[in-house]
Amino acid sequence: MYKRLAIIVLTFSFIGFFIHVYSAYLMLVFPPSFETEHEAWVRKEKVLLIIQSAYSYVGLVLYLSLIYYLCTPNDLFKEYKRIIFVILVSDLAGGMFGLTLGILITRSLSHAELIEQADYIKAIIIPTLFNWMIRPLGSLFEGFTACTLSYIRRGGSNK
Amino acid sequence: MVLKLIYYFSRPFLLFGLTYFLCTPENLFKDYKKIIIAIIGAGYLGKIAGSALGLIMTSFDSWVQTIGRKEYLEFVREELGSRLKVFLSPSLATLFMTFTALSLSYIRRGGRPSRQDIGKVEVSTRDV
Repeated sequence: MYKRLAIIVLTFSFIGFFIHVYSAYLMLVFPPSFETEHEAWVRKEKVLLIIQSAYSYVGLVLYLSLIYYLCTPNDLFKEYKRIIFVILVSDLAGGMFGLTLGILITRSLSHAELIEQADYIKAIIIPTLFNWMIRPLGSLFEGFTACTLSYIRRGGSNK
Repeated sequence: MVLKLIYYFSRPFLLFGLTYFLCTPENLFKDYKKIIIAIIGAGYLGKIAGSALGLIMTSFDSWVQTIGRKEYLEFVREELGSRLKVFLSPSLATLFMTFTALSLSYIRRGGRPSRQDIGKVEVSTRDV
């Protein structure tokens, strides 16, 4: 159960942060100076907007459902501390992976070279790091609620 | 601005703390649906009451007297229109936070329920 919970939380945190970094990067370098590349960037931004909207609507439902159906605790009264720990650590780890990969990928893109290092840090890394510290709380409340409801409706070995 | 900041940072602690210490459910297994409905319903009531009080209080402001009540109401109508989506959607973050606080309060302060306490809660499949 804990392995599945960790994988779900880690995956969603990773995707969330990767999208966050990539969208911050697009905002930072948009619009590019060359006319021919302008259209390509508009297309990229549109695709990203669609992914972001889809993720914001589907992400939460999927996250709650996956935890609800796959991570029913055997005994919530005994395991609640471990569940909280797993959610918090997995979310922080997923966020860190997403953040690192996002920065590595966006730094390798051609337009990143045109941006000043200070601007890049100010626009991408600082807000994302702040988000990285705050986000696990939201994730914890959502995950723990799903676990509790799953235990109430589907499980409960103490019965 | 200071008030806003104070509210922004103290709200989660206060909401979580007050719920945890004052609202321990008697039986989470029986009451969880009522709890969810109560949190969402109370959220809407709070939004409506806060908006109404805010409107009443600001309508007495001197600036409103200067621009005229009709213009002010027009301004409010436009503002509400643009924020209708936020207003109509339930505050999910509050729901998750409050439900977690209640669950933890029940687990730590309410005690383990007996077989009779759990009552008619349906037990279908259990994922082990």
